Amino acid sequence: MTGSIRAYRTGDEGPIVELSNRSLAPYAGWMQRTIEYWQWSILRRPGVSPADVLVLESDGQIVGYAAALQDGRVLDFSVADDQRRRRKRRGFVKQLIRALEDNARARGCDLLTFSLPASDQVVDTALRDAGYVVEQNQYFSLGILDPRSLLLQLLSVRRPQLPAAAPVVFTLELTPGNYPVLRVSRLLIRVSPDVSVENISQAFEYPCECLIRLDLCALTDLIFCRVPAAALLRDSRLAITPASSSEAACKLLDALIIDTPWHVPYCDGF
Amino acid sequence: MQVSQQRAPAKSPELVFQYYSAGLEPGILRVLHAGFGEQWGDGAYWRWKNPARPGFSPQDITLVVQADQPVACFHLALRSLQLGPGLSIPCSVEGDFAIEPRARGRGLPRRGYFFTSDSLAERSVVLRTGFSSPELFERLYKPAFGHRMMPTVTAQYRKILSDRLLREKLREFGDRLRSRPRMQRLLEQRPLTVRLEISGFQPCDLVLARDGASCHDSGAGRPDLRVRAPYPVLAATRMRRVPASVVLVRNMLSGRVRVRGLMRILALFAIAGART
Repeated sequence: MTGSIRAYRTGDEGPIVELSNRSLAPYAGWMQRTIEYWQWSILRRPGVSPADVLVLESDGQIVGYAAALQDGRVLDFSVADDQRRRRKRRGFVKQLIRALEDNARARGCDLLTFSLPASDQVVDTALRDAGYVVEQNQYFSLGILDPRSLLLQLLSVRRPQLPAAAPVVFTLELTPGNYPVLRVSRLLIRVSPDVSVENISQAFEYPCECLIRLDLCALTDLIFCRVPAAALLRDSRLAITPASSSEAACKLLDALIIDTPWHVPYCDGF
Repeated sequence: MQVSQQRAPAKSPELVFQYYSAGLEPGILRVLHAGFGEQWGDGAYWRWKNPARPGFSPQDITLVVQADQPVACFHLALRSLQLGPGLSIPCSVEGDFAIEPRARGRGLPRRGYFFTSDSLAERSVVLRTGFSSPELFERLYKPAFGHRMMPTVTAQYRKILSDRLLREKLREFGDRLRSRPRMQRLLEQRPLTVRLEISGFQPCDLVLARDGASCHDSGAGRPDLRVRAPYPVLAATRMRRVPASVVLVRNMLSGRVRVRGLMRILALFAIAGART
């Protein structure tokens, strides 16, 4: 099961960008590609020529693509994921890896390096079988600048998962923790009938139907590091009053957790 | 736009925080090279990464200037980070933080982080992100910026392609072997030659001697030990999931690795041990 490999040609951008966006869709932490962004990120990058961008075609369709720097670092690597034809995909992945190796050897590279999600078993197995040494090496850190917008976006998407029962108004009190900047200290969250998150940092009076107190680091741990509300409560990093509203507050907070696996492609790095 | 002008210790010229403006590129490159070395890249690389980037704004580069010369720089790019289906969050990806040695120790990273916060909020940025080593994360990003390390599924896969690098790695391995007491006793008596035939590479001889290890093209002479192995087995010994010796024995038993002269080597070790 092989396709044909060739170098990039003008006009390939559209299918490449579409393939790349589709391949990255199961992950969190990447940037939606546009043709303009891809051309800058890959094609115009110093040290990359069109010959360094390989395209894998099968039945007239672009089913895989890879781009590498001349020093052997692979910038981007995507092979269409077709659940119905897993074996075919395995063949395409191996073919594209071999083509990259051949290109790199022809350029006199000492080493070929990929940064890819280990959770993609087809790619992971193909690379290990080809003798690649694997290391967990990506260190991507993150902090919250605007908690109000973040909560609004998350809760709007997660609205169907939110508890339907009362209370429907939550007051979130934030302290900075290790953050040097805290732009809002109190937010009013309504989940019914529509989701709204209002900055009430300056308000003297506010609803106390369900008061949630935590620092911004604990909120970051909850949303991005999958530390559930119950664990924060246990570690006294979260306080909820009155106690009778704890269950509803924990459900609200747990609905904020991003459990999508994180993968930041090498070419999206800074 | 708020510009912080905080006073440095007595008699030092003032440190001024400002955003990028044309003409400061040489100074920025000087700061980057002071921080990361020349290997960071040249002016063309900096221009590609910054002013040539789609959506670039001068506010993406914060500079600390002293006597009209940049002494520190902080770069960022605004992006829309995908966090899952239907979730796209505006964020700044930050990096290329460099501070000249003479300006260090004045809390510039935290002040720079603070300085950019207002403009980032005005630009609707929700998250601030960056790439850092675990050491830098523990020293700076976590305590000073409140950041958290994301549990990524990203792995780095590496494969040696050239004979040159393979031999360099083998020589390093040989040096580690030489440091072992039993091997030192043996090498006091005589050097040891191991011929390695690794699939996809030219055969080579790893020579362990009293005064060093070397690895070069296979010679005509008879080696003490001859090892024939596929490259993936060699790589597997470096994965450290199981001890390298276990990987080798397993593959010898399955026939993937062939070793000739093992008894001879064991005898040499025994003789060397008896002599001392």
